[in-house]
Amino acid sequence: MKEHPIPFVLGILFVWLPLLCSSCGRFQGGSTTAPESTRGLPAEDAVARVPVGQVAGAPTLSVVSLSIANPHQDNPQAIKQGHELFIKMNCAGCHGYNGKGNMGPDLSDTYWRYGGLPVQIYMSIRDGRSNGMPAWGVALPSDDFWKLVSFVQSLGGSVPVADYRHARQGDRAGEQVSPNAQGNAQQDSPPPIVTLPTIAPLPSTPGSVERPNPSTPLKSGAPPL
Amino acid sequence: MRTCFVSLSGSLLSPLALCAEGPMSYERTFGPAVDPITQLGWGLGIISLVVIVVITVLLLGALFRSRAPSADPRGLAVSSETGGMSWIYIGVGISSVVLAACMVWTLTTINAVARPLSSPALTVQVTASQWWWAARYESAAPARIFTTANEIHIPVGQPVRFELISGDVIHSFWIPQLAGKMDVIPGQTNRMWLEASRAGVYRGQCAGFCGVQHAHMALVVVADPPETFASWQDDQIESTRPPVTADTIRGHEVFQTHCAACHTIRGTTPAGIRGPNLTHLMSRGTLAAGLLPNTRGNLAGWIANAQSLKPGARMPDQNLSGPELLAVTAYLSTLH
Amino acid sequence: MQEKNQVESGKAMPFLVREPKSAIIATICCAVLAGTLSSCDHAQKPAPEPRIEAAAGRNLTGATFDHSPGDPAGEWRSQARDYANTRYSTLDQINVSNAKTLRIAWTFSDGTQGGHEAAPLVVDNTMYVVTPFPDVLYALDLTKPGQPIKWSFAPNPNPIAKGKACCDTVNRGLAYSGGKLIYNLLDAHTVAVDAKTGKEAWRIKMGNVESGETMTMAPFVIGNKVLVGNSGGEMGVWGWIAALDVATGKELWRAYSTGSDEKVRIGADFKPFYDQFKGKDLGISTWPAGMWKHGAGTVWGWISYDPQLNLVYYGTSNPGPRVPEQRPGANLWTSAIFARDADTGMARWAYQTTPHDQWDYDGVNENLLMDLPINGQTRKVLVHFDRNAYAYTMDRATGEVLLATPFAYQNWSSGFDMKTGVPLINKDKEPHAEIKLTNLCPPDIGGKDWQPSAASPRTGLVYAAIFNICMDVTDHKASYIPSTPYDGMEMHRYPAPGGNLGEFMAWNPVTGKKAWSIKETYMTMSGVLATAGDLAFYGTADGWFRAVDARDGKVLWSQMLGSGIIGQPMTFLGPDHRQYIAISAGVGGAATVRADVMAQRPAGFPPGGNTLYVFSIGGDTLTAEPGQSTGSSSASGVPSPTSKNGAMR
Repeated sequence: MKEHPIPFVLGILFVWLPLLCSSCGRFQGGSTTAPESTRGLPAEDAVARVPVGQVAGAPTLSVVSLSIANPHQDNPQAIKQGHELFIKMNCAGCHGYNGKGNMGPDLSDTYWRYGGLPVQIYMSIRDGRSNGMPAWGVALPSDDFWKLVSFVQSLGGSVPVADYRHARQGDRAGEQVSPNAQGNAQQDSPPPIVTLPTIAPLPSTPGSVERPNPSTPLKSGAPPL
Repeated sequence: MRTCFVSLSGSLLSPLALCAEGPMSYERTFGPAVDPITQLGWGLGIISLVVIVVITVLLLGALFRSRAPSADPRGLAVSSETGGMSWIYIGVGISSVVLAACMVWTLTTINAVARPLSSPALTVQVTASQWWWAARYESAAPARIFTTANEIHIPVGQPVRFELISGDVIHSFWIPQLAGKMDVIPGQTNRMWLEASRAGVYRGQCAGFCGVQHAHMALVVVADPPETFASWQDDQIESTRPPVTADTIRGHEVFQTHCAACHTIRGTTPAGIRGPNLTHLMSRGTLAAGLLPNTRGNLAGWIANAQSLKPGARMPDQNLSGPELLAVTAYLSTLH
Repeated sequence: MQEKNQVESGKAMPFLVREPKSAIIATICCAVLAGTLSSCDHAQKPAPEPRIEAAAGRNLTGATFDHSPGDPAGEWRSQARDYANTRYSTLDQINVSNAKTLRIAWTFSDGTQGGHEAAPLVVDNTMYVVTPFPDVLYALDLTKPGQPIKWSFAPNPNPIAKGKACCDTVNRGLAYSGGKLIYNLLDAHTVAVDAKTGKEAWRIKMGNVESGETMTMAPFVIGNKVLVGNSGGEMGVWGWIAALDVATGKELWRAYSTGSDEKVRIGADFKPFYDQFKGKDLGISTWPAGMWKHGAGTVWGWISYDPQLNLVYYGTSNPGPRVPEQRPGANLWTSAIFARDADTGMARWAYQTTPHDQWDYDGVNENLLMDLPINGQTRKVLVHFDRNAYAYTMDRATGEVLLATPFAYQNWSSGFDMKTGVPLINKDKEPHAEIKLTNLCPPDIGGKDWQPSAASPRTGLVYAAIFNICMDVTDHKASYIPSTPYDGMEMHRYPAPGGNLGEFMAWNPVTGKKAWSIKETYMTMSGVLATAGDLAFYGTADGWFRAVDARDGKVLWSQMLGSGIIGQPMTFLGPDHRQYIAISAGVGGAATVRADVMAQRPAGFPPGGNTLYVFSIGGDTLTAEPGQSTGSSSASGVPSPTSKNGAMR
């Protein structure tokens, strides 16, 4: 029988309307995803318990803070952003664009003046070191420090966090140990490993952390001060 | 039938009428770099509309035209058609003429916007980064070269050359009322020009999806009369003066420690280029690439809570105390 | 050992002037040395070896020098030995006929890491050695067997400086004046030490190490003034040269390399030869708004002085950041040569060797002051081997370029416009941000780096250790964040055509041609010493120390040392009237730190070191029998006699 003209007209409208409306400029690009935040990062007071050097008497608890894991470890997005920061914050100027050292030390090997555990690298970035490494302190958010640590870890430098007890004595995980090597240790048996609660890595896509979006009141021009 | 046509044309044209005044509207334009395209767009649109109407009329006519009952009892046999070839000859003939005319018009238009009538006296190098715009005003006198962000001033009635480079991914530079789109591609410099024939504020927008905050990557082009533009330019070249009051001095200190690795304020020591140049921040109408009106309250909110306002942006939330936030806002508010 | 002698000889030289120079020099020497008994003793003694009369006075260019300040022939009181920066010694006990019998006489290890770039000084039978960071100063008693330490001085500079120095924690040496040793500490202080007691006379903070400012250059003494400058061209510091009072350390004047004419000390007397250097406040107006403030132009190279014109000459470093797209404009006064009034510091003329330096070709290299016959008249010139691979012969009174020809392999420039004094740039060798530019020659360290050349009035030639290197470079735009590099150059260096990284050459500054050259597999980054024995000494980064016939480039003697050589050879007369040659072996500096490339550190490349080697004919020196005391009675630093090499026969 006869074709009805209405679908034809609708078809035209479907093609035209979106094109026309796209030019309206009324769109607000309403991204409602929540931001990257400091949630999911190790607490700063836990990081603050990381000893700079050896601990007198080697109390177990204070050293346990060395086992703080990098929340962004092996996160490709974080490694990429860390690499970006490494260049843009002039880190590459000292440590080389490939991280293999230049004015500053090589970051791609397992020799570390101030400790190669992720949290020690974090502290070197945040607090600086006495031979010229500047402290980034509040110039960057702590999240960025962890991203930089991710990048350094991706170079193959650093010491795996699981090896933190070995790393204290410059050992490599799984290496051969003389049965008499513990002769001078204070305890016959190794101290119990106490780790901080494991921290879940951040998802790779920024913004998927659940968080209310408080942008609406601010956009109206009345931000809380 | 009549009702049908009215409703059809009404549906097609009403969005045009509604949208013509929007800031991103390309139906009304204000510069020689884009006006010929607009005319062409309207012209081709109207021609297309006429073609649609004609074709629709013919199609509907054919649909509704009642056929004479067939003599063949089976009713399905197709007999050889002897007439009606003239419809095809006329149709193809008219289409060819119209298409050829459209082509000539299009080529003429492309030629007309390819280059300005006079060589641009001003060159602005625009760097698109996630998710903001840096603009460096070039000059033969190096000391008159300066950098600003997200708000580009141009003199009315003068062509301006734009050099577009990318700081990271592919973006697209689009100020619909002044020029067509131009992609911004890493590793190369794309060049274009535009000219505003009327003073005013024109909104621009990244027009190539570039990441999570693509939608909040706007910019503003302000076309000023040449004298106003010249004085704006002179003001921008000036460096800032050191802060004098106690709270702005404190705010300057906060800025140095928290902000200066990424932002430049000319006249102070550090000069970060990762974020927008803030030397004359208060001369701009918006914050965060067109996200917020530039008010003191919005500024404080943006500093304290950037990740809530523009999630994923490179600007981190600043963990500032209340007095620190007030001080740094007070300091930034002096940067006229 | 790869040695190819390319002898062009003097046949083609149009200025083959024969002058009885040696006689004149001998007379001058004796007059100058009149006050120093031991030296004069020697001068009156018959020469122990036959003189090479055949070559005496065979001056290929007609060059003459002013050897002010006329230090005693047996001493070495400044890094360049004379104001003219010739590094030429009139001693000739060691000469072409006996150089092959050079042997190690004694050595001294200072135990520090880092590149050893300084020459020791010898004053009053005491040798003064300064180490790289921590910048310890040692005084060695040359009158005693074993050369014991008389005293040592540890200034304890701030270790932060180690992370701010771009090119290793080097120190380029001491200056001596009025019983004081003056040198710069890596943490941007200048210190003066009493030469007799080893006690600090004064110390003055000259810059801010936390913002990346360091000091590595050797101070330069003129009368009662000492000139010093800063380092940190890669850190966005504000470059300057300053004059201090030798007695007190008080700053007399300071001239910056960018900024207003007042800061640059440009006044009515400033008469540059070329138009592009004329105008008001060019140190501001040739930069994008405000960028001159961290535009570098540091003064980390050598200073020379013409006592007749009373002008000092020195060069300024690269502009900051090293990414040229961030700083359109000529970027004055970076990568430039300044002539300044020695008393007031006011600029007399300036000349930018590399306008808008896009490749890190600093202008800091030494300026040798010579008097050359050019077009029939004697011109007071300076000879400057720039990192940009052009050798300049310039009128040092006016700043006019008389000659500019490449001395090393380069492809950044297609020629030189003598009319405007500007090198012509190959557009395809201009770097653009984030785009890799391949095969750029020379690289950032230039056709020749800071390592100073020497000149001999006997041959009229200039001797320089140069490079044959290219690089791939990718620029990354850089933020200026004080205390971090303001740099942005990602580099990969490799040998230029020929495959050799180094070369030692004799240069004719009148014709702008090499007289001869010796190719070296590894970098040649040592200073050069020229002597009246017609010898030129230099070292290689892999550790060969060589004596070469200055007339024809024949290698007469080579010795492999314990580390690569980037130091400066010097010579002196011991209390035993023997001539000694000294050189530090301790590779480092730009030869390794900014390598970023295996070509410069292949397998077999030596590690760092810290040994000062002293050579004599046959290795003869003071000896001590077992049990005989060699120690000094001084309170500070009594070394164990066994800690040092004793006599070697």
